[in-house]
Amino acid sequence: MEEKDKNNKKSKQIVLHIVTPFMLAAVTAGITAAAAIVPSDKLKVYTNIAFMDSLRSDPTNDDTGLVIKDNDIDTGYEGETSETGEVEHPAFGEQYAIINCDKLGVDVPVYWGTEQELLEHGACQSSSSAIAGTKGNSVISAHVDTFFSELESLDIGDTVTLITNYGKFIYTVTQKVEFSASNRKYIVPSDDSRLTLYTCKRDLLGASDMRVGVICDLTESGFYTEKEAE
Amino acid sequence: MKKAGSYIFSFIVSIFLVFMITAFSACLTARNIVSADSFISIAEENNAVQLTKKELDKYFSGKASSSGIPAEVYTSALTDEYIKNMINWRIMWGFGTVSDSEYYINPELEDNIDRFYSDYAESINYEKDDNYDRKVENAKNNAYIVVSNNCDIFKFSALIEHGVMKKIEPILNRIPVFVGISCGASAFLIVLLFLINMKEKKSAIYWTGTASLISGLLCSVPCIYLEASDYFSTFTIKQPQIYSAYTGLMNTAVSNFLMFSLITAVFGAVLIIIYSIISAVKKSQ
Repeated sequence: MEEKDKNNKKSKQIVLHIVTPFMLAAVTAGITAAAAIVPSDKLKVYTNIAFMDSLRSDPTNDDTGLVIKDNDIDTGYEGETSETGEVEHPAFGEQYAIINCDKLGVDVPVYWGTEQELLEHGACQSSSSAIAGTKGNSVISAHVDTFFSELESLDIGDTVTLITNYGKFIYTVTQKVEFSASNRKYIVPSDDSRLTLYTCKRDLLGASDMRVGVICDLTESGFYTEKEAE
Repeated sequence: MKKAGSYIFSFIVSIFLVFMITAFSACLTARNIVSADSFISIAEENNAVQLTKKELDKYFSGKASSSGIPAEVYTSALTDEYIKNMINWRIMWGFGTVSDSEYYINPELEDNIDRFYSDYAESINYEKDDNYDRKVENAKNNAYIVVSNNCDIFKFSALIEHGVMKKIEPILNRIPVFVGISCGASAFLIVLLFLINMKEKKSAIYWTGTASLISGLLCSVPCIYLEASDYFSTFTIKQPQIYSAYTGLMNTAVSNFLMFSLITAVFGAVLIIIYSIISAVKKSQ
């Protein structure tokens, strides 16, 4: 009997020694898989941003004739500002602003006009929408796998800053929206000064017909009054 | 392993030990790979100079018909040595070891552009004025921009411009610290295992070995898959020099990480064998 008990104990020990590594492997693999989702998403975004365009020095798209112009937007202006001033209308395909928002993770260049080629370079503002600094709805969109990957993380009350070479405009998120691609309710002109940012809703099964975005009200308008002598 | 309590605590500590050993391997890999010298040797191993030259030849040849400037004006000055220095400079600039103002001036390129414009102006009796000087200056600046952008094979300019480097720089600068922390944490957890298994110290050898083996296998299996399937060659990146530099970097990182993972797996297996031998010897006594 004692011998039988000893043998039972021995086999249990052996089984435990064999099963333990498998259990350890299963638990650690599960935790690793769950924890790796966010960093791998971020890595994908940063890789897309790094490789989404080819030569930035080649402004002309030979196929469409679109001229993409990058401008140096001064983000360090510390001079005097005024609530009113003159805007500088950009050409189609020209970078005219940068969106700065901590939650978006990166500084987003904004091009005037919406075009597939432009969306490869940054965010695009609809050329039929109000330019920053004028009354109306400024509508800006970007791809969800590049610059607007964190758009859904914006909350009501968050600050979004649009920096141009003629002024700095601060907006506060007042509404989070979701709409279908065919619904133009949030991207039509408005009477008040607002900023609408939107992108495709993430869909595991591929491209989504739904759009997600934020509506932001203008809280501070600062046209630059001190321009550098040329 | 005889009591349930010490088994459960050892199991939990081993989970942390698996991650700490994995982190240690990853930090060692990052320390090996993330440096200007490492990036420069990856560029060299992946034939970056020749691929960049080919791309520049293609670009200037394509632009010749619209700009009126023959490609040879530019390409004859773009020697292998110059391209190699430009690529290395862009890598060092990306790592912040040189400043933006330390441009690799190419006197032959500037002379070629000066000579072409001068000959052309003379042929059409154009009087050289401020406008002429501006055009020549623009041609030189644009040539440098095109060459510099093509030589930025790891796309540091895009990462810096979009604020991505600003986010990852604090992590990259602290890699040696992370190596120390992960090594120290692993040692602490091993000591903890010995304390938990005070009455049967050899069990701690089993747990350490198992954790090390699992860490090694969990890391090496995906690495072997990535290498065997040549996963990174499926990346679609337009410029061949950037494609080859980036895939070279990924493959080097994977190979390094695989090496450290296999070492930890072998170390773990050896500890388990030692545990088995000690157990067998004790039973026979």
